[in-house]
Amino acid sequence: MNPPGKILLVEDDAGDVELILAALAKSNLANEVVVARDGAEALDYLHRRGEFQSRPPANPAVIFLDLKMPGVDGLEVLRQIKSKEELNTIPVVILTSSRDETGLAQCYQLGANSCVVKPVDFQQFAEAIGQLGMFWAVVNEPPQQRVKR
Amino acid sequence: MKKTFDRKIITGFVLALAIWLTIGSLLYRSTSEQAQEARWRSHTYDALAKIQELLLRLTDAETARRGFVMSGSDRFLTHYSNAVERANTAFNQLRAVTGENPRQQQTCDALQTLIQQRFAVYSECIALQSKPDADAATQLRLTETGQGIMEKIDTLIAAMDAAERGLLQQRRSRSESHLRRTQQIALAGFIAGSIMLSWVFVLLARENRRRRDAEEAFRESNEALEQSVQERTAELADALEAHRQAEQEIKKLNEELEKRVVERTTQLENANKELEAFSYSVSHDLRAPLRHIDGFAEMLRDDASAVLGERSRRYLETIATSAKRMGTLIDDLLVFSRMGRAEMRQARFAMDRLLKEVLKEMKPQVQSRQIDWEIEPLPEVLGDRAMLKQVWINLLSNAVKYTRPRERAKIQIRCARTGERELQFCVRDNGVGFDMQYSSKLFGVFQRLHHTEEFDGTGIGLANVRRIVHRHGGRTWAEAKLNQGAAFYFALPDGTKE
Repeated sequence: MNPPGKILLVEDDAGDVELILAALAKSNLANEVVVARDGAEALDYLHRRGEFQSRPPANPAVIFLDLKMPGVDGLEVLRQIKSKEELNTIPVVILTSSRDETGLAQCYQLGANSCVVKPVDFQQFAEAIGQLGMFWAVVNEPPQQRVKR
Repeated sequence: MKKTFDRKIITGFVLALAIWLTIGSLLYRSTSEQAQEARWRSHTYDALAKIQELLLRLTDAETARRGFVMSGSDRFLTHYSNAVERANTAFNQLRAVTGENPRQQQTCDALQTLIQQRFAVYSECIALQSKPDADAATQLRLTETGQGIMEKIDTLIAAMDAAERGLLQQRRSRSESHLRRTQQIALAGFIAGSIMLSWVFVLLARENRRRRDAEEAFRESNEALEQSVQERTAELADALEAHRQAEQEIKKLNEELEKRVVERTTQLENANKELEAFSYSVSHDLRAPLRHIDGFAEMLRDDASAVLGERSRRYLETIATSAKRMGTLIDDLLVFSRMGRAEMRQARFAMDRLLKEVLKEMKPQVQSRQIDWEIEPLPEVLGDRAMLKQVWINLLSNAVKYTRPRERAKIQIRCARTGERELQFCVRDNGVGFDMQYSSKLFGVFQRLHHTEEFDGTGIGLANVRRIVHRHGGRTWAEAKLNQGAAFYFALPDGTKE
């Protein structure tokens, strides 16, 4: 059996990163979590360039993407992922603090697979993250990966 | 008026004409009579002349006879014959002239006999004288006889003459009387005609004056009318000018107003954008730290619960609860803000069905409760269904919530159509109610009349109700008494055209 796919977490807020990691740990997921601290880093990882040049070629099983980030923001990252043939099959879950409707609508239009507003209540937050990880990284069956050499 | 006037004029003219015609015919007849009279008079003069001539001729014959008797000269005989002939001629003419007078004819007959006798005597005398043995005595006798006849003749002629002269006199006086009568008639007719014409003239003059007066009055009234028309026109022109100016001012004001509206709209749009940015910032940036507070408090508790005392654990609990509460408040504020900004989707729908939906959704809330619902049929309304659903949810949740202390809650839902083209909806409960002196606070944001410990909630529900109803052009209000229930009203325009 192949090792479970990685989870790419794109989040600039250190506090949120820690909370999400804690939540994922709580739900006993075996998947490795890769953290990108902004959009540029996330794109570098996905395209295996810069500091990620030498990483193994497999795409992550799911991307958890924050919207509001300095520099390249979540929407831009989403747009690039969904416009690239080799990336657009990766499920993207938008994690946002905002219930701002136009933002959410835009995300779905760009091809986001799911949008979740992070609850303030940590219990609920941990539950939501755990369920998301379980569903997208474990339950969900991705298409056969075509790895470019 | 006109008719009688015309009739008078015509009558006057007809009368005048009749009078003039009468006078004319009278004068004509009179002059004809005068001419006849003149003829008769000249006739009489002729007769008189003939009488004189006859007398003269008879005298001539006598003179010639006497001359012959005395001288025996034939010259006298010739004279005599001429005289006799002329006398006969004169007599015949006399007879012709007096032919129409029987009495004069009788006299003429007598005269003729006498004249013949006389000439017979003369012839005898002349024959006697012609004889050589003329007898003076016989001559004398004959002369005497002749003298006697002559006297008779003279008498007759004088009678004829007198008769003719009498006739002349008679005719003259008759002619004069005729003339006088004619004069009188002519004078009377002239006067009558003149009076008639004067009358007509007066009538015409009066009518003429009346017409002139009427014309003058008409002209004057016309002038007055024209003047008033001119005045009116001027007034209208002034009014028009004033109106135009006012219109221009209004136009200017309108333009200014429009400009200001555009400016204000821009300002408002900017403010709205800022508000959106603000609310985004509130929802995104404020929530993240709250999440961290709650999350890390929770994790701290998990990590350190073994070493923490009871009090410290309570502090951590309070930190987490407060963070969650603040999160709820922010969420509520965002909903409230969205209610103000979200686009309205107006449609006509049945309020009955909407209410049924809401009640179905509320089932979990009321399951453990004893509630008597009293719901009147609700009409169709025009509005944003989702927003009005929120109104019902908030009002009914409140009613359910604040009747919690009652063993049997009673909630009434009613609708009344009022005269101001309004539909008034009412939710009445038998809950704890409130003091009316705080009713003004009721619909404010985060305004609460009860402690959180008694009844949960942030106090945003009624603020949302008011905001939604106001956006529909309606109004909200409430009536209550402390511990005696409350009634919440909202009124919506009934959607019919004015």
